[in-house]
Amino acid sequence: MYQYTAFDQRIVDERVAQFRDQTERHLAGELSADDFKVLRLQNGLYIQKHAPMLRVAIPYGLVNTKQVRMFAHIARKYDRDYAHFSTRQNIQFNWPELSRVPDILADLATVQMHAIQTSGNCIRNTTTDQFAGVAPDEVVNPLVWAEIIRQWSTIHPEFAYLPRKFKIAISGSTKDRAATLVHDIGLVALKNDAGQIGFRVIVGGGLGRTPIVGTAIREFLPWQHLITYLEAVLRVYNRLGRRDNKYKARIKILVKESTPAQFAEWVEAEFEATKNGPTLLSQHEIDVVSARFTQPVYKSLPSDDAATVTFAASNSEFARWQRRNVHAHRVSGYAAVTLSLKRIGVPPGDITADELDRVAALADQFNQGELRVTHEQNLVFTDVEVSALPELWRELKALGMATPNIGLIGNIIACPGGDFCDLANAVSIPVAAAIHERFESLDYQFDIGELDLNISGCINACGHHHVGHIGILGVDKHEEEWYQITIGGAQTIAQGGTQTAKIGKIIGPSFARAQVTDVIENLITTYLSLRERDDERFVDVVARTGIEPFKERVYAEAN
Amino acid sequence: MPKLINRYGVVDAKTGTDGWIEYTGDANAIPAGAKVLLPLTEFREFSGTWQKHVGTNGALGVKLSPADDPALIAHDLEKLALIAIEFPAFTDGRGYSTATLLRERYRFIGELRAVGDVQRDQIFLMSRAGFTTFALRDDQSVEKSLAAFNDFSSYYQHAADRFVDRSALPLAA
Repeated sequence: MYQYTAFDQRIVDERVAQFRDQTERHLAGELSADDFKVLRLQNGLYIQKHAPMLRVAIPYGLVNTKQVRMFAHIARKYDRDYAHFSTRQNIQFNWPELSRVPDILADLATVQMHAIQTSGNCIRNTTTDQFAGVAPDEVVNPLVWAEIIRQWSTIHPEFAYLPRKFKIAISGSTKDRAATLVHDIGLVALKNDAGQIGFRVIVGGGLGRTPIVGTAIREFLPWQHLITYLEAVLRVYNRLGRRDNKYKARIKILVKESTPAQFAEWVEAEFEATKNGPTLLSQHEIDVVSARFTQPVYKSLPSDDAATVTFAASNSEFARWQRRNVHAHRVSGYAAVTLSLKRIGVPPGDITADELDRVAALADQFNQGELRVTHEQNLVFTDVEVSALPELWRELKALGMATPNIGLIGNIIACPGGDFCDLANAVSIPVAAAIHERFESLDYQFDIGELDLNISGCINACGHHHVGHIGILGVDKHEEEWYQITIGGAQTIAQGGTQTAKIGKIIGPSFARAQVTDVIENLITTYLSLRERDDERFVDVVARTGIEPFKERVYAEAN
Repeated sequence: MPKLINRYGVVDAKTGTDGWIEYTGDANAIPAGAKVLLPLTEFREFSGTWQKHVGTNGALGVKLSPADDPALIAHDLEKLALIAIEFPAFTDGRGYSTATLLRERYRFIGELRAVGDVQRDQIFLMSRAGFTTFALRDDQSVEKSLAAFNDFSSYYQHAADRFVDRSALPLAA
């Protein structure tokens, strides 16, 4: 985990003072609502249906237990005793008072946290793989690079007023768990034949109204040029991106309208003119940032623990949890564990203040005082000793966070939707709840196998519905809530030697809310009748058969 | 007239004007020997005529719109004492890249002025992007705007302000 220097701390403290002054001027009538809006958004503050919402950055998803306890404190002191983990490795508080937000930010600053650029038309929180640093398939640990990007992008003078928001994701593994193909910039850290580190640079991916899979414009950018190249992309976008229409202002539209080849040419010209300048990274800079990261301490352990193996053999519930929620680790005798925040009766990603404190205590006991937040709205302990798994499982079970549904239909990703969000056309959480209840049986979930079900309450696609194996999108039809269903999307799927993303296909006219759960069940039973092997996943069947058999069945039943 | 400041104070405090006259189509309004600010197209077409008109006592400046490409004046920078960059709305951030290019790539060392929707809350970033003077929006407090230069005492990135010689900026009256 990166530890702030006095320098980092001063910037965050000064940002709090700046925002306090802006808030006071706004409340005193000196700063208009319109002018203030842009400034507050760049500090994570939305004004929503019921109250403001504050989005706090969890840089690249890494958080320590002191910080988690601070979330609990904020939830109790300024909010209604709970918080919400978003799909971009941020945490959101739904009920703070505007005048107290500077105090919240000041509290966060005491634990090296902030809400800088968590919203607004600027460079947002950089996201990465929740298993960064511990994944067996990792080629390059992306954490240090993510921190370097965080520092560079923080209060960048040239890129604070972009045409639209700008999201960067970075992955360093064979399997892309950071959705790099559906970000404004996706970076894949890799090594060339000489063992040198570099990045594949993907631009112009995104979801929202116009879902597009990004295009690689550089297959191998030597790491020294990372920041210069990012600046080149951002400068081309800042100057040429559309500003006349909010819905056409993302970089993906510029890349698409100009063609990826033309866009790449502009970027390369800009890069040629600036490379080897002051933004060239040196090994020294990398070493300095790396040295600020605390590293997990590993004991020398055998890969298997006899007692854990015995326990799994006698306890099928534990064995199931181990199968779904426990993940391989690069270090022998260790495992990564996902804490499922997908619970019946609780909106996906929601967590109470008491639960935050309990999770912090468990992370201190089992995970060296740190944890991760995932874009699937769950939590991860990355460094659990295999011998401690049974005990951790008992504790998590008592907390209701041991549901073995990771990768299954129960692990629904959903945005806050119309219950909270001003932008939403329709509710998300009640839809997720109804589906979750219908598929409550774990036997059934295991039988269905791997399935990503994603729900967005509107076309902004915060629930990433386009890349769900099943995607559900809330649409507004004559002021009623309707839902459009897509199938066959995938955040990451192997294609040739690399990974790609797939945008789901719309199966047909949208459905009333009351129909949605039945439609999902029809899709599932269709899949089960079509699958040729147990390990042929829903998304594989859709790829093999196309959407027709699903469509026929669903609309025959619905009419 | 908007108040014009640099990081040291109000530039035009004594006279109420900084002496620049903006050309808006009426050449008769510009006396010989004046300091005249021209739109990009006018400068590109008639820079020779204007140079003669202002002579050695006057000076030329160019006002760029957000979409104007600074590369178009890259070879004329020694003729220019002032480049003004227009912010029709403070959320239109193209001017930051224009300023960065003028300072970093084309090494413009003269006065770079932000005009239009210029507010206290953008001054720190504008200054870092290489702007040296700021024509404040009418409702902006001079005192609070001057405080903005110190919003942050440090920063992470290299930016175009490293090409600005602060010692060359006029001190406030």
